[in-house]
Amino acid sequence: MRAPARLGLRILRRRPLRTALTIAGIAIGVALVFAALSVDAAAQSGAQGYAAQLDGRSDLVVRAFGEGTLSPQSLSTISGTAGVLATSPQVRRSTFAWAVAPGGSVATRSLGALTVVGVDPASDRAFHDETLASGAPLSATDDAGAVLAQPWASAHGLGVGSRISVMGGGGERTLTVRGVLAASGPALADGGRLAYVTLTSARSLFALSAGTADLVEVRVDPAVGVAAVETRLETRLSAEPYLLSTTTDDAASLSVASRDVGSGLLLVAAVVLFVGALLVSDALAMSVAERTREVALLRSVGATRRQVHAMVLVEALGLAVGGIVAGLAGGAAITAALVPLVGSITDAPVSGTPLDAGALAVAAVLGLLVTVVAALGPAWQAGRVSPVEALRATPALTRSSGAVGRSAIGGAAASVAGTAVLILGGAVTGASPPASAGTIGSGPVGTFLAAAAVALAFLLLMLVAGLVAPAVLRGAGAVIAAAAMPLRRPLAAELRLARGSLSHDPARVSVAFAALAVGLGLVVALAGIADGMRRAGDAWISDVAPVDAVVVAISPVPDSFGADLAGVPGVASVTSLRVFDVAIAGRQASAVAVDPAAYARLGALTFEAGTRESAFAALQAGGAALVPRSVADRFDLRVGDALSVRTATGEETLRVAGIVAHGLPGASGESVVVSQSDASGLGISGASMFLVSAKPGAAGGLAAALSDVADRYALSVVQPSAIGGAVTGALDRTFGLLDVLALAAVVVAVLGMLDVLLMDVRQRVGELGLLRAAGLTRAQAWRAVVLEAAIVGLAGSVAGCVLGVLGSTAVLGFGTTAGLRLDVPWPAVALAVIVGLGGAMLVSVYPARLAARVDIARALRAE
Amino acid sequence: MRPILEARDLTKTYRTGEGEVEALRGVSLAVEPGEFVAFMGPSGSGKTTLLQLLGGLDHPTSGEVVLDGVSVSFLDDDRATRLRREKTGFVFQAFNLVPLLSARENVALPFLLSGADPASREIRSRVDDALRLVDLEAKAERRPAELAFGEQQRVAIARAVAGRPAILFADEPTGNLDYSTGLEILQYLYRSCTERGQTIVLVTHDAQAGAFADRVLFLRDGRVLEEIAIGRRAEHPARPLIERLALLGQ
Repeated sequence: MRAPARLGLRILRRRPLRTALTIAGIAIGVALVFAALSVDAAAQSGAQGYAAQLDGRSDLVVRAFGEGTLSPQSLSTISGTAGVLATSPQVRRSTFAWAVAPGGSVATRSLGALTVVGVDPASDRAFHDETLASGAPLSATDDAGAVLAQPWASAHGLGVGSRISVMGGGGERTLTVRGVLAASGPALADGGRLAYVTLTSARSLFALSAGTADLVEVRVDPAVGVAAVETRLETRLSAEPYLLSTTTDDAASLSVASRDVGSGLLLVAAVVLFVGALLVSDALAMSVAERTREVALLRSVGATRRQVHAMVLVEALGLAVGGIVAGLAGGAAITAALVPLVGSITDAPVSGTPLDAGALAVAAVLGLLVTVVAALGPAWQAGRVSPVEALRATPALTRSSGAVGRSAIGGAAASVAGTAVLILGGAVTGASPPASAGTIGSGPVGTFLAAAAVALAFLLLMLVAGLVAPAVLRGAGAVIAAAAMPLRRPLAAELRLARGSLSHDPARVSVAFAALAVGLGLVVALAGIADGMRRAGDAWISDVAPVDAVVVAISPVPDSFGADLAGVPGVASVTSLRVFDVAIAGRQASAVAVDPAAYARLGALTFEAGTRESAFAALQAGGAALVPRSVADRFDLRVGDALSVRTATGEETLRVAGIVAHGLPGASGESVVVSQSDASGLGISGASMFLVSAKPGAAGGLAAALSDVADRYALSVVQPSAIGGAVTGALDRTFGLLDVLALAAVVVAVLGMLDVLLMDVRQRVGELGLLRAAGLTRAQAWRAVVLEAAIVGLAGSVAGCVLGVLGSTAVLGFGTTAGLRLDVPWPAVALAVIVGLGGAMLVSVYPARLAARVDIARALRAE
Repeated sequence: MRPILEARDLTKTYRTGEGEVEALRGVSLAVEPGEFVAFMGPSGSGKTTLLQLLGGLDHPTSGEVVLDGVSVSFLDDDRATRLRREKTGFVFQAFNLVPLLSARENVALPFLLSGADPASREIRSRVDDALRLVDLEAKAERRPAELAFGEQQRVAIARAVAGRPAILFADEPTGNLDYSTGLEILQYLYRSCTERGQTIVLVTHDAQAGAFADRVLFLRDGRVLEEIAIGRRAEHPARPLIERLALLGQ
């Protein structure tokens, strides 16, 4: 067995360029899988670390539901529960702040949004380590002092001794900065926009009753355990609604965005690796075909089938080891580049270049397994070579469609095996939990099932590609011939040779064609999905807020502010809304209180069930609600159903008067629409935003005109397009990242094409020598090869665009509520054609140069 | 009459890993228009190298080749290619045809390569004429793989003569064929020479093939050992000649 193994390794050395190309194909896949898993692990650990810093030594947090507070009775119940070692109550509310000039008493400069955190300094220190950057810690009796977090203080030029003014339900308070906290621990929350004050001061600022709090941090006796205390608290707390969360829950919630990105990365990486697997299978199959006589000679001098199998498998093993080593090194570099990008997308900070050992092991095993499985087909093919082949003058070098089918099956088998490793790897690394976009997959199983589906779809695609390749290549050849019409005469020979070469042996390039189509299809599909989601986001915003500006309050303000906004020149109408938290069937949801008549006049909402007139009339009459489709599906609601809604201060049963396509976004998804009078019954009043319509021709300057009044009431003016822009920006960053990785699949495919063209030129040296002897110039030989690559590139691009558009249409149609609608992402399609065509032509330059430099005498002599 | 092809003191040295090999050591010759010349000799005598230099496929180490009044030995690649396309035709032992083209397209290949329109009336007529010469009009649309070996070689002859080249070079054209098919091929070459005045330079180690030539040059160790002018085949009995050539070739 040793001799064939040595031969296998020698073959790799004999064809260094092909070896390098195949290794590069494997390496790119391994690198991306390694990077995806590492970044995912980094994001998870970043989220956990961040959550741990925010939560400090607390094991549980009890929060008041919605805008309610925890009563003194609840606080006492919590601290008196068996197993609770310590508690720290907090008041935590958002407001606006202004700077106060030294020596003065008037606010001079807006400092923007600020979260005021009221704590009992002694109990808070038992939970969190505070590191003061300057000044002194907060004293328990200092109701006029505040300690700021460094990022925000530095951004606004505030330091010890500075004075700030904050506004709350209890009026305006001026606080003096006693100290500045370094940017660590709880001071990282809310981007560092924090001011710590005493509990008494916070209660007074926000007009809260004595002894109440918004949340309580709880430290649990380890001997009792978090779960036991959680159960006891759930049993004992009954004074008002609350939310109970553990540190783990907080970490999970923080890592949702990173997990979505991680899942996407892993999916794309898997596809890249599968493309690589296919090319490994194809390269080995071509290599075996090229060495048919050599294999036959080995067989004729006594090599067993098993030895021939071993030779091919050792060759694959050599490629795998090279690919894994290069891939892991490349993966480390990609991880370093991706970490800041992913950090900009996720909520929790992700930093450093953490190289996860589990990720490394999974990527290495995956690379090895995928390569070796991809080599099984070629090994089998080599084992079947008859010793008689050695006696034939010219062994058949062209590949049958059956051989292509075997390559496809080999690639797909490798893909399926790879998916199995990914699933196991997911279990090992704990990577890739739920995707919330609802478009690709959901949950770890969903993600990996999606990867398995991709692998199977891949198999199908490759088999179909083998069948359609001749027709598509013919079509692409005709297109290029037509495009070259003005030059047709000078290019006629090259075109004829290129097209003839492809039609003579389409199987030769069909794998490269299919791999290119899959890679470019992925690029186009991702772009199509991103476009669809952008459109859906824009449609959502224009559906629920069809106005020229939205004025947002950081905490509820009196409705009467709306009258001042209505008085601004250019304003046609102002509609106040109040978004609040509710519990429906014991689960948290969002609701919005509206003036039904005013909201209906805006033309807002699209009704899926129930009619606009009757639904708004029912809302006006009271006791009714309009339910967004997502909420209706979540709670299985239909028009006419009763809907029990509970807040911290009240409970009502409403009738579903209509199902609408979308509702305003709230903290817990889309908001159920209720009338302001019903909201009053739930204890909800005031406004959290105002929808402003401009008079004809006044929309342009509306935001500027509103800003004076808005600033006075600490409101912010947002244009609906800016909301759309924020959504688009986030989508662009996420999908841009995935697109870059999808392009890696194209790079692998293009490398495969280079391999095919090189082998093609080598196999056709005799034919090229003959053509040169018959009068083919070097330039013509060069052009013929480049044109052949161009035809394959164009065919791959076109097929990729078709696949991508169909794929994105299917994903958007079946994965979202958008419905089936054929939308072509033209910029991505143009990019795909440029990259596919350009990439193929670019890599053909070297093989074309070899073809042009064929030494006629030597080529003929060799034959 | 001015020779159509002249070789003046040609030498060719190849560098190998073990040193230099002198394939040709000062060969001079001249071929008249319409003449059928054969190069014979044992393996390694330099006959194929000589043909490649004469056909402009390779450059000599020293010496000169003049083809139809043009010195081809030191032309740049583009000009040498054009000259080959316009003045020469080749028939090889193997890889005679481009597998992806039909028989007709293979015959029209030199025209296609020169940028001429293969669909034009004149070129179609020349291609048809060449196919007719080798009796393959009926199989013009077949691909090489669909033709017998002898038929493939006939297509190669048709391609070589279709452009009405000044000279046709044939390198062991019967080497891969059985006796009767090989004889058939030689008769087609001979026919093009007698009926159309085609100048032919044939490389062969087969005395049977050499007997078709007007003149035979024997090469050994890169030199012309002997030259026999035997005249047109139709004017002499073939058998004694073949026996004599066979003896010389040993």
